[in-house]
Amino acid sequence: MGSAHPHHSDPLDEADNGSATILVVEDDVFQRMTVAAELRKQGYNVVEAANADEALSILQSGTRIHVVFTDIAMPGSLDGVGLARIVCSAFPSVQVILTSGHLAGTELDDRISGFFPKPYDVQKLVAHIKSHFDSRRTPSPSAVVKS
Amino acid sequence: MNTDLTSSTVQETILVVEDEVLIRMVISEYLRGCGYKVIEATNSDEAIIVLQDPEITIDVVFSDIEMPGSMDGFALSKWIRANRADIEVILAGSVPRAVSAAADLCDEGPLPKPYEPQVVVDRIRRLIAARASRRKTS
Repeated sequence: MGSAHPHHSDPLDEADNGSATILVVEDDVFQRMTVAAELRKQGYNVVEAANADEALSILQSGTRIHVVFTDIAMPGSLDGVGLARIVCSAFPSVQVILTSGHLAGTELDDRISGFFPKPYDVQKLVAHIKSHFDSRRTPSPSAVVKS
Repeated sequence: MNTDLTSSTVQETILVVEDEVLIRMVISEYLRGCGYKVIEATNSDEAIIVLQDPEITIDVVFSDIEMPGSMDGFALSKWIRANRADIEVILAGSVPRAVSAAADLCDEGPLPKPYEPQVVVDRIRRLIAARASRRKTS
């Protein structure tokens, strides 16, 4: 699945502050519209998908995606957890954040970047995404050049 | 969650209704790049949910004709004519019969698929200009 994807480089090479592309996967049109509008307002590029099948079509198309923010409970062949598992294995450079209105005891992959129970504060989501990119930009102590 | 979706009266809002995600993504991004505010709906049911919200202003609906769900683009267009006559409708389709039939449901006739995004923008501009002209004279 990922073999057809032309971009597996470190997303930080392209994702400068606010220019990362976020794939919002949400079957509720109002929630999708609202979070997408807020993320665009913050300067992010946003691609919208109504379910996991649409999300995979976008990822497989070669569209550069840095973050997948997905609802868990969705109709279709996969729910958000299933989508997250595929993204983590086939698109390992993509950050995955989950959201749900139900705090089910689903075991999440260690590579899941975050979980936001609904209703969530979009500003906190934005802060989480920013902190993820900022932390990965911060050089490790061994990488600091000593004067 | 806060949103400014309803606050602007300057920027026209286009509701794109398209079940093929890659087509929807491309035309929506193109329209945003042209300065429009875009709301994406995957089918007529989602579109009607958006259209029924009195706080959301939609200027133009750009809809595919062939879509799964309770309504295709024709039925959505008829619903808009009956319930939101202030909104302009542009239909697009790839089936010749459907394109022909759509001529009765949108002012300038349908756009055959595949379409060039700029053709869609040109159509939107003409419809919005014509609407503004009608409002001035009425």
